[in-house]
Amino acid sequence: MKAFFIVCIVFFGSASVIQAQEIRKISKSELSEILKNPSDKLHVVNFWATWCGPCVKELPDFQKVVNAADNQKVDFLFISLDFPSDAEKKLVPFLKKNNYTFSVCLMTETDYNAWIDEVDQAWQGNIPATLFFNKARNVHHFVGEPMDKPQLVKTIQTLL
Amino acid sequence: MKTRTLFAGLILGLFLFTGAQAQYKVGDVVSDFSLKNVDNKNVSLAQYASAKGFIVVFTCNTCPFAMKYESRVEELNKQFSSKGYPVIAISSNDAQAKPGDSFAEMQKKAKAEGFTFPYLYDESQTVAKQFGATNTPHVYVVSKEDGKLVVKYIGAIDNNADDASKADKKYVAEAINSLLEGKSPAVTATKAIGCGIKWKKA
Repeated sequence: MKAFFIVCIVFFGSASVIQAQEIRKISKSELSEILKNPSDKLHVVNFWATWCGPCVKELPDFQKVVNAADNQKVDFLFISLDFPSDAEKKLVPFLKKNNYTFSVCLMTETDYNAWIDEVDQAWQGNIPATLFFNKARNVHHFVGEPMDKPQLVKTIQTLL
Repeated sequence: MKTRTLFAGLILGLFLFTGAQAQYKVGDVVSDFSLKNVDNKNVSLAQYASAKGFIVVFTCNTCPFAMKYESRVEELNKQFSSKGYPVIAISSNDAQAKPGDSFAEMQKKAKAEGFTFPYLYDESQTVAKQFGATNTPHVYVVSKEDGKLVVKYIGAIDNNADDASKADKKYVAEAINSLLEGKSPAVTATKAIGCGIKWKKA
C-alpha cells in the first residue's frame, strides 16, 4: 500500500523530467488504499477534472502550495476525474502546458456512486473537492468547494 | 495537538456549515415553487393537476456532465410524462459566474435541442437551496401521496455519465417504474461526480 503510494509519487515526481507521457490510472480498490494510507503525514487529496472550470482555476494556487510544502509532513495527490477516454487528448496536454509537477492519478471507476462515500459521507460529488487526512492522528477534513492559496495554507497549518 | 486539531476542525466545520443549506431527504414533503420557463411563463408543480409526480432535474447549459445527460433527460420525459411523471428541469447557475447559463442562453438551448419539458430559471437560487441541490445534473423524483409531494429518490440519472449505452443501473427510470407499480424504489439515493451549482457570491 505504502509502496504503491511511493511508486505513484516517484513516478510523478519525475514527471517533469520525463515529460509525463502517461498518467497513472487507478481503480476503485487503489483509491481505497490511497484513502487508508496510515503514514503519519497530512495527505491532501484533490479531486478535479480538466472540464471543471473552478478546478482548473484553483490548480495554480495548489501548485504554489505544493512547491512550498514540507514533503516530510504533507503529501499531495491530484485525482483527475476526466473521462478515461479523454486522458490522452485532454489531461496529458493540459498538465504539460501548465508545467504542473504535482502527482496526478486518473480515476478509472466511473460508477461514481460506488466510491464517493468512501471519500466523505457528506460529499455529493461536486468538484473541486479536497480531502485532508492523517490516519495516524485521526484527522479527517473535507472541503467540497474551491479553495484559494490563503485558505489552503491556513487549512494545512491548522491540521498539521 | 489533538485538542488543537479538534478545535480547528470545529472552526472549519462551522465555517462550512454556514454555507450549507437546508435540504430535502428521501421521505420529505416538497413545497411548491413558481419559476419562469424559457417561454416566459411561470411554471409551478400545482399546475400539473393530473401528474402522479415529477422528475425534478437540476441542470444547466454549460456543465459537461449536464450536457452528456441532456438527451437522457429528454428520453426520461418522453418515457414518463405520459405515465404521470413529467420532467421539470431547473437551472440555478449564477449567470454572472457563467454567462452561458443566462436566461437568454437557456432559451436558445431549449429551442436548439427541442426540449419537450419546461426548463426553468431559478435566478434567485432559492429552489436549489430549498431542495439542497449541489450538482448538475442532480435529480429529485417526487411522488404524490395524499395530495402531498414526497421525495422518493435523490441522485444521479444512471451510473455511466460518459456513455449511456454502458449504464447498467438506470436509477431514475427504475425508481419511477417501481412507483408506477405501487412499490418503493429499491435505490433511493445515489451520488455522482458533477459540476457544482455556481452559487452567487454573497
